[in-house]
Amino acid sequence: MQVSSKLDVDVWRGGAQGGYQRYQVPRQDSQTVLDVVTWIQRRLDPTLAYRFACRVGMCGSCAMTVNGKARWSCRTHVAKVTQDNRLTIAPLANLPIVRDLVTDMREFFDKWARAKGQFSPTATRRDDFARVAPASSARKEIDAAIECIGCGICYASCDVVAWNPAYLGPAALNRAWTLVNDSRDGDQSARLVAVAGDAGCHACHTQSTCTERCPKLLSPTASIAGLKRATTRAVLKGAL
Amino acid sequence: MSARAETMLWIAQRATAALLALCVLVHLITMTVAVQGGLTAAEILGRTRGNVGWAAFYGLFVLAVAIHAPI
Repeated sequence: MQVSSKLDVDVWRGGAQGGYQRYQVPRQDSQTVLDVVTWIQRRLDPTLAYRFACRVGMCGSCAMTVNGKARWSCRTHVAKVTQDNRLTIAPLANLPIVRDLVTDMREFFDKWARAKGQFSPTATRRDDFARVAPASSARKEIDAAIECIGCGICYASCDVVAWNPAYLGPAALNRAWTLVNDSRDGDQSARLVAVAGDAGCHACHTQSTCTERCPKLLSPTASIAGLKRATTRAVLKGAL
Repeated sequence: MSARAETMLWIAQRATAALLALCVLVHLITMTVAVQGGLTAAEILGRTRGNVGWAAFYGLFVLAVAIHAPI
C-alpha cells in the first residue's frame, strides 16, 4: 500500500458526555474506515474501544457514524466519504454509548423480540419438509427482506426512533414482515398485535432514511408498508 | 389502547387524508374560479345559499378535518 497523505480523524471518546479527539492517520490505497479505526487503536491509542468481527460486511458489528451518517465501517472506503482529508467518526445514534465507538445494542435486539421476531414452528422434526414455492409472492416478499445483518444502521438513522423511544424500529419490523409471510409460522395473530400501533408499523412516517442507508440495500420502508396492509386486512376481517 | 383500536385510528386517518386531498383540490379550484367575478359576501352567499350539493361537500370537508386532525 502506498501512503499518499495524512487524514485528520476526529473520533468520539468516552461515554455520552465525552467528546472528539483528533488523530492523524496515514492515507492508504483502498483504505476503509475500519482500517482507520484499527490503525488508531493499534498504533496511537490502544484504549480506543470499537467493535468488529468479520471485516467483510457479513456480521453487522462494525457500524459507526461516519461524517454524520451511519455506515458499515468495514465496507466504507475512506475515499468515498472523506472531505478535505478529514473524517469524523462517532458511535451509532439512538443507542446508549458504552464507551468510545461502542453502543449498547440490547434495546435494539430486545425490540426484535418484542416484534415477535422469533420463528414459531407448527411442524415437528418428524414431519416432512415444508414446501414453499420459490416463485410464490410470499416467498418473494421474504427474499426481499431476509438478508438483514442486524447492523443497526437503519435504527440509528430513523427519526421516529429518536422521537419515540418505544418505536420498534425498521430492523425489527422488517424481521416481523419476513415472518408474516412465512407459511410455516404459527404465531401470526400475536405478531400482528405486536407490530400494530404507535410503537409499531403505524408510527412510521415513510421518510425512508432506513432504506436509503441500509448497506444491504434492503427496504425496511416497504416491509413496514406491508405490515400496515397486513394489519389493515386483519382489522377488516375481525382478526385483530 | 388495543392494537385493533390503534389500527382503526390509523385507517381513519389515512382514509380522511385521501378525502381531504380531493376536497382541498376542489375547494382551491372553486375559489380560483369564483374569485374571477369579484369576492364579496353577497356573491358568495348568492352562489352557495340553498345549494344542497355544496352544503354536502363542505359538510364532508369539515367532518374529514374533524376526524383527521385530532388523530
